[in-house]
Amino acid sequence: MEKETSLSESVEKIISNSQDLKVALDKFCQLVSEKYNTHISFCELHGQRWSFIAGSEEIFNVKERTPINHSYGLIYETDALNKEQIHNIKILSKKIIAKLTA
Amino acid sequence: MSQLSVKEWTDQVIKQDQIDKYLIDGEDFIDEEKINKNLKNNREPNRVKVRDILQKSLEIERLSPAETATLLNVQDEDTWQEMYATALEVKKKVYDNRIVFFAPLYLSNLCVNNCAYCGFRKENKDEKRKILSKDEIIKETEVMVREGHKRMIAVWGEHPRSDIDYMVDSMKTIYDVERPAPHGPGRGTIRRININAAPMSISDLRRLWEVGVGTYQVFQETYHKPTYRKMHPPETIKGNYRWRLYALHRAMEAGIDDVATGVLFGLYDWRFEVMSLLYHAIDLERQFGIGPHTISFPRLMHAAGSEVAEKSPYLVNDQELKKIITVLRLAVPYTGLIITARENADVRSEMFDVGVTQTDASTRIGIGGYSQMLQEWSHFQDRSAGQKEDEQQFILGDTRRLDEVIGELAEKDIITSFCTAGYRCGRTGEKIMGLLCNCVEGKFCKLNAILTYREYLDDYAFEETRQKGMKVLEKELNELKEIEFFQERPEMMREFYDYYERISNGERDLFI
Repeated sequence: MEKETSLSESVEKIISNSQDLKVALDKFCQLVSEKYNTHISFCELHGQRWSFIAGSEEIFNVKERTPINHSYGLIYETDALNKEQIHNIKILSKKIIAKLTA
Repeated sequence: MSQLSVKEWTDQVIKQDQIDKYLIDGEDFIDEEKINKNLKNNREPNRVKVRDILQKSLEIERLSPAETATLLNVQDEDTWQEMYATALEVKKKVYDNRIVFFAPLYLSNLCVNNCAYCGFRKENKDEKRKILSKDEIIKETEVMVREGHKRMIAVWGEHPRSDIDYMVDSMKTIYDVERPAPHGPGRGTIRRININAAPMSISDLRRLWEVGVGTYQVFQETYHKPTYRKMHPPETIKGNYRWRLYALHRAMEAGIDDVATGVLFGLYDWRFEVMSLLYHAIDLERQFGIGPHTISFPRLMHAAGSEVAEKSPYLVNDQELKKIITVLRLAVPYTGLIITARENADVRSEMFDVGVTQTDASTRIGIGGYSQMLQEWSHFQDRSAGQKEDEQQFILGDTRRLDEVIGELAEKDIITSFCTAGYRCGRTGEKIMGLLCNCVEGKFCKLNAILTYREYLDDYAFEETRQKGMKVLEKELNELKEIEFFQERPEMMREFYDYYERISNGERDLFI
C-alpha cells in the first residue's frame, strides 16, 4: 500500500507541474517503471486503433491492454503487476487525463 | 453529404492558416536550387564512398540529402548490384522476410479537380461517374473479405458528394462487414482501413482519426513546382501546391501518426523526385519527430483520355523503377515501400527483391469493380474481369487473385502477412518508428506474419497454395528457434506458440 500512496502523491505533483497530457503521462510511466520495475504505456483509442501517446518505448515481453475510459487505454506487461496495482494505476491515470483534458 | 454547391464547397476547402503555420521563414521545404545543387555536387561517386553510405543504411539510419544524391548518381552497374543486395538486407533487418498485402476500394470517381494525367479529372467526359451507396460498399467489401483481405485502402475523388461525412460513414460501413471464410472457421473482416484521400483540414482529419483510420496517404504527384503548375490547373483545389505539400503535417497535428506519401513517377525527373521525398521525410521528422509510415512510387500509366502519359519525356522504365525503390529503401530504411498492381507481375516480382514491403492483389479499381469481378469472373478464370477503362483511373498491370500471388511468393520463400497488430496495440507513430529503427518491429512482424498467414492458409487458400504456404510456415517456425531475440524472450514465445496452436484449432485474430 505504501507504494500506491507515494505514487498518488507524486501524481498530484505531476498534475500541478504539467500542462501537457503526453508529458504528464510520460512522467507517470517513468514513476511506475521505477517503482515496479516494469513498463507501461498509454494509447489513445479510436475504433480498433490503439495509438501510442506516451510511456515506455521499450518492447514488452507479453502485454495486456485495458481501456481506462472510452478515449484512452493502458498497456502493461503481463504478470508484472497485481490486480490492485493495475487498478490503482488506472485510477491515477484517469485523474491525470481528467485534469489535463478538461 | 455537403449541402453546399460544388463551387461553394470548393471555395471553402483550403485553410491558408493551416499551410502558413508549417512554413519556415515563409518558405516550404522543397528548395529546388538546393536539390539540384546536391545532385550536381555528388556526381561520379567512388565505390568507397558509396560503401560507407551503404554501411550507414545497414545501421538503419536515415541518409542525408548529400548521401542520397550520391547514390542516385551511381553509374557503375556493379555498384548498383551491391546497392540492390544491401537494400534487401536492410529490408530484412527492419521488416523481416514478409510482404504485407492489402487491396484498394475505390468508392467514388467524382472529382472537382482537373489533373492532366488522371482519368478522374472533371473534364474527362468519357469517364462514367459513380459514387457507391451504402449497400454497394457492403457488397464490394464482402468480395474483398471473401478473398481473404484484412487491410484495405479506401480511395475517394475530391468532391462535395464524397466529403468528410461520406468518408466517415463509408469507413463505419466497411468496418461493420463480416463474412464467413470459404474454407476454414474464420469470419472475415477488414481490420485496418488506410485511406487515400484529398488533403483536408485538421478538423476533418480528426474525424477520420475518430473512426479508426489506419494510415492517411496523400501523394504529392510531383514536387517540382513548375511541373505541378502545369499538371494541376491553378483554379482547382489541387492546384494549390502547398495545401497538398502540408497535408501530412495537418494529419500529424490531427493525431494521425501513420502518414504516407508518394510520387507519380513520370511527371518529372525521377532523381529530383526521390530527393524531394527525402526532404518531405526530413521535414516531418523535424516538425513531428516521425517520418512517413510508407512511400509509394506509382508510374505514369495510360489513363482514358489522357495525353500526358503518352507524351511525357520523364517516363520511368523498369530499370529506373528498380533504382528508385533501391535508393528509397537505403535512404529511409524505417519506411515501408509499396508497389501496387499498376505494375505487371514480372516487375512486381523483381521489386520484391530490393526492399518492397507492401503490395496488393485481387485488385479492382473501377467503382463497383469487385462486384463486377464476381459477376464476370466465370469460374475465376477471366483475369481481366472488372476492369473498365471508362470507369477507372488507370489500367492495372496485374489482376491476379490474391491466392495466386501468395502462391508465387511462397515459391520464393517469402511469407505473406495480413498483420494489423501494431495499429491495435499501440505500436504506432513515434513508438513504431523507434522499434523499426532498432530492428525490433521486424521481430513482431515475423511472429504476426506467421499467425495471420496460418489464418489465411486455413480460411482462404486453395489447396495448391496451402501446401506451398505450409512449407513456408515450417521454415519460418524453425527460424524462430535460431534467433537470439526470441531465445531471450521465453515468455513472449510461450504466448506466441499458444496463439499459434489456438489459431490452428480455429481461433482467430490473436496477435503479439
